[in-house]
Amino acid sequence: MDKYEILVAGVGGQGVIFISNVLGYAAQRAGYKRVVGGEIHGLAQRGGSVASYVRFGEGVYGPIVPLGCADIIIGLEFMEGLRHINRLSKNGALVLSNVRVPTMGMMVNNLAYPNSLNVLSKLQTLFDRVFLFESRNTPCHFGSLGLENMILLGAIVNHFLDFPIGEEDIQESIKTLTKKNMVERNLEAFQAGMKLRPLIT
Amino acid sequence: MSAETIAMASPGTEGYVLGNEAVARGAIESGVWFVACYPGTPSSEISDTLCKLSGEFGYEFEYSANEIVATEAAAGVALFGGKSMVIFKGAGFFVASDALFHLVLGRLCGPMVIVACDDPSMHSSSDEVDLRMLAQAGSIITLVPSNVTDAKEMTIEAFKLSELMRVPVLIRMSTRLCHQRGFIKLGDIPKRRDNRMDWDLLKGKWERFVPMGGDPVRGEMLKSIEVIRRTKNIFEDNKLNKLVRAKSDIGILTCGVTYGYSQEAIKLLDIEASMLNVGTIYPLPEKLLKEFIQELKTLIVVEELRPYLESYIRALAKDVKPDLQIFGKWNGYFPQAFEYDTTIVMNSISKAMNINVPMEYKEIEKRTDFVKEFTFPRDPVFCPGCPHRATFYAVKKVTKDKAIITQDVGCYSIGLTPPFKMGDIVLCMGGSIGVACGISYFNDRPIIGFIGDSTFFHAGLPGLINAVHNQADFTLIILDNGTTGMTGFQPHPGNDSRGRERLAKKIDIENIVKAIGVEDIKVVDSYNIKELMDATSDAIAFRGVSVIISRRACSIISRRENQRKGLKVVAYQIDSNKCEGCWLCIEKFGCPAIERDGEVVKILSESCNGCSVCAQICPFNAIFKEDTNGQI
Repeated sequence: MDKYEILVAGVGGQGVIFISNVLGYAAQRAGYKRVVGGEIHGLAQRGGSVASYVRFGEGVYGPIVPLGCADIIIGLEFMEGLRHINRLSKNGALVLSNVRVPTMGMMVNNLAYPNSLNVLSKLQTLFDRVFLFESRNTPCHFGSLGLENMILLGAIVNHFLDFPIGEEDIQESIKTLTKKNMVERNLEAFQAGMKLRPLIT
Repeated sequence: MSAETIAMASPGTEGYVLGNEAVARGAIESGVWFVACYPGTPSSEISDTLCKLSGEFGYEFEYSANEIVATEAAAGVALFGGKSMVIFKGAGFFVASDALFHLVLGRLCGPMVIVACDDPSMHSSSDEVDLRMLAQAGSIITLVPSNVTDAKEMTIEAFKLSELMRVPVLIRMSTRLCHQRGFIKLGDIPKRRDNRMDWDLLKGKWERFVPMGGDPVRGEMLKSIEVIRRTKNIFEDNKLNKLVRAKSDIGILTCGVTYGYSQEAIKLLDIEASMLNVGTIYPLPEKLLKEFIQELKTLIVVEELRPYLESYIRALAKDVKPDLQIFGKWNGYFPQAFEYDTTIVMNSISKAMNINVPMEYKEIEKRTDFVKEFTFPRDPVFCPGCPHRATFYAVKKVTKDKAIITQDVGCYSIGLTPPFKMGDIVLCMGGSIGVACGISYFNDRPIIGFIGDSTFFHAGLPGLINAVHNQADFTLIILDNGTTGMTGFQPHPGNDSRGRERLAKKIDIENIVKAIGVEDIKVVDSYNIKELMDATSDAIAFRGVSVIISRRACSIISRRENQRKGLKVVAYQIDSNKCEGCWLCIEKFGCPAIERDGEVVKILSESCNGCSVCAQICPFNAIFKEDTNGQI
């Protein structure tokens, strides 16, 4: 594959930046010469939206995924994944987690969280590849809390045959980038994700 | 992990780092002696990385009280032969500019590099001032990197150039470069030495720097013009400017991150164009630019913020290439505001060249627009247990939205958003005080200013002195959470640490306020609603400047402390028999640890940090601590 563009989205604390770093390192391990990432943080720790780009391959120079160009959007939180849908290419994959974090505005004004099944069925008529994974509550020795990023990554590597980075490169990156006492947890979550089947395909 | 990547000493290794971290590595490879900063997004990772590594590489690091004292300290080091760096965000440059604009008239004996970060699209700022224009206004030599590799290399070049020219050199970054990641090759790090000023070495080089008005400073002014002329010559033929000629009479001129976007855009549009990316942004390489446009019929200028390059090139072209067709901001082909990306650049070039964009944007919009209905904006919120939330809640209870609220720059700006919506003015660092002072001369409503502890030290002191001296009448609430919260928990003068567990002299806010002459001072616990409300009522009744210090540690910090010590926070719970579903704790208090659960509310025990404030405000006493069986 000459170029691949990933967009990861979520809320502060879900590990958006970490998963992006894992992907960046893994892409280089997989042999891609040009790897460029971009992220906007700032108030992530205060529950804000976080989005990050990982782009690699020929002709990649800037840090931002252009409109309609993402090969995959990884939404660690359901609504955050939807937020960037205009960057997804027509045959790109939309991978959403079932994690749902209402915004403060929704809580204060008592607005219901969007019905995921309705949104998904509409999306399926517009995009070829829409997936929902139950990354929260995935059976995992350490519990899945805070490890959804690794679980979803495992699911993607296992499920998408055209994903350009393989299991081994990702595992090696996880080992390189994780604090020692967290390596086992992260790898186990990644493995648990690899066994995950999508709820909706 | 990132600071560790930067610390890897082995040259030739590659690290996947942020643009900010690349700058930090460049400073270390240059053998910097002294680094000073005031933290500010998007610059923070430069200084945080350099703080973490200062022990390992043996340079001095200072989180300064504000940007101008940081600049003065760095100037002191460089004037006497040391290597210094000073770091801040764009707005910090404004604060530092008094020192910087004068410093260019001096003769440094060692190099001094300024790193300042613009924020196009204002992701975490409230201005789009273009630092390139300010650098030009102040005759500050300026480099603009365009990617992560550049960021490190230009930092090293900046130290060399500053040493050669004996004036400070500015590296102007921008958000998308600060927070861009890429692989950089790590270079050699000089051997650790004991950095001391050496008067023998300085002999014949050091001279007094006293550019006082009149003839002395006029002489310095002429010398500084000569420095810029010599620098311009160096820039004419310099690897910091990248020229790629194509077999085409179309040229594209770029600066910073727009270089990458433009490379992608012409590839997607499938057109041939010569490209010149200007890295030496002040002084501009006049000859190089002239040569570049000489062979062109069409020039497209791609730059964020102000038309800095464009104005210059239009002036040049008038003499050397009058028939050159130029497309940029002047004639409306490129947007005036906000950051660019490949999509914007591609669209603008296609408009200028009258060619089709290979993307069906209408299609994309049609396909994805409906999603907007399902995506609500996610503004930052006060964390569970944030002491600011309780303070805003109590003040709102007392003032009932009848007070004029002047706000300041920090986490407490979140008080502007629902559910509190408190704040009529946010002007600048320290602005809460000066603005309140002005309003108070002509107004009889209660005026309440909110300022954080770090911001108070940064820019609040002169304002408060001024207000007390001039007998203004308002209440200032100093939200003292013991840290510079919004930018990542850097220490400030109110802490007993100066970063990396080095001890510091703690400056006591209460004593300062007292010494300034404030006659009504109250120190309250931010977790005590009654205390806060009483203090607010009293302070409003007081004629003159009154100060409430609302004090509690930032809840992110206390949570981390607890984790480190292995202490478990006991969360609060809802007694669903008592909860009447009045929603006050959600709709008026807005703690993210509290959620609706059918007809009642529930507390997410993994998010709750046990601050107890929701229990204090619940009208039905339905909130209790998990292990106390309903007793608070």
